[in-house]
Amino acid sequence: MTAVSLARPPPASLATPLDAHAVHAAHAGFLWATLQRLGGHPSDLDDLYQEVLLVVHRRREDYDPASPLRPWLFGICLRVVAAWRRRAHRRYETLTDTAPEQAARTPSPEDEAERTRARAVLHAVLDTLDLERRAIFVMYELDELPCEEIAAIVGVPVGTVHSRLFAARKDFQRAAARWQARHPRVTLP
Amino acid sequence: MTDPPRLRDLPDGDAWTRQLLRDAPKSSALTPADYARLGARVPQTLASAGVGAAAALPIKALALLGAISLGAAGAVALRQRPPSTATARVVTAPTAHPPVAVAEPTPPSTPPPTPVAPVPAARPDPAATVTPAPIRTIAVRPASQRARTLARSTPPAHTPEAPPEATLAQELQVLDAARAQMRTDPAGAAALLRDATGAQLRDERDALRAESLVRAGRLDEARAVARALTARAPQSPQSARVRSLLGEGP
Repeated sequence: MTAVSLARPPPASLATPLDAHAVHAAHAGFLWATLQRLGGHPSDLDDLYQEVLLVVHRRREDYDPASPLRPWLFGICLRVVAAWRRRAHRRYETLTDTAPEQAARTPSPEDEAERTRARAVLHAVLDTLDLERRAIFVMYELDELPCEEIAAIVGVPVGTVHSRLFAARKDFQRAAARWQARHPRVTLP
Repeated sequence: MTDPPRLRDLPDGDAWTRQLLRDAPKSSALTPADYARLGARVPQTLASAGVGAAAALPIKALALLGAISLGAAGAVALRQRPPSTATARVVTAPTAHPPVAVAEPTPPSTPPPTPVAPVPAARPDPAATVTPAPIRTIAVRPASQRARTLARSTPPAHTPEAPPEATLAQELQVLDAARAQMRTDPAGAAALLRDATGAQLRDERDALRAESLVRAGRLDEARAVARALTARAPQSPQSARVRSLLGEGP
């Protein structure tokens, strides 16, 4: 692989062995963003974060220091969110059906409320996507990371990011169309 | 191959989708308050790994742990590490706790010790490094077969204890973090307060927790917390606070 890795080399304290406290100190922002990009709901983020650190701690012997850290962390985040969603399946279904409409009916004209509405609807649509595709979609389309950076995070070649991004876009367009069909009266400014 | 144009910039795309993407905010950045709040829970989170039982984590989290297993993606970073020469493993704990060194009790020719959770609360027991007498082994859930084998053959250098009670400073930090979170994420604030330790500001925590639960719409739980608080500390101003919060109740 000739792609330049944009992953920052882990701090010396992470060389061996991996320490969950050090991961928190150095990568809290990355984990926080990643859990959101994977669709972790705001009220669950704190618990999800602790889950991730717990898995990091339990699996620390399995981490190869020669390999980049962020793909390893990304993989853990993905599996933690996947397991969480399986557990909260019914709750998530309720949220996607009712919350966006309620949010969309918020009468406030302020920018912040509109953005909250848009985010609720967007999450309802994104929640139907496969987790990794969702994360790649969010990283590129919303957080505006370059594909090279996404490749370094997910641990795949840039070409793979492009093809997964295109697949994510197709999934997204289809889900958006379905959502609009189910909620015809909800419009956005 | 260069990056494609972003979906919201595509002129021929779906207008509704474009607007949705333009209106939606980016992922929220981690704030210093977030960082402190998350860090405050880490010692308990890691302690629960070593002790094995459900000390600090909610039950649903424990069920999750059983479900989490390494998939194909994780295999990329996996490597069968050869049994290396044992080296002293220094555990760096957060600044609130004194640094703990997990000293090797055996000479380098022996296999590395069980990866017992490096609980910040654990203090290296000098007696353990000196006496050959049997040392109490702890029930741990090792991460691999290798670790399981080692657990039987190698006595641990220390016995992990329960997480230490929080200092007053830490209790105050938890209260601040919970208050900062209350309006936007009352459920999260309630969870933070529930998991926190410390005896000096326990009443304050319970009162704030009851308030958080009310804000989160979990009235039954709020009443239960309030009832326990008023039973435990009827004269406390915190009890008065929750009584007025919930109205007169049984």
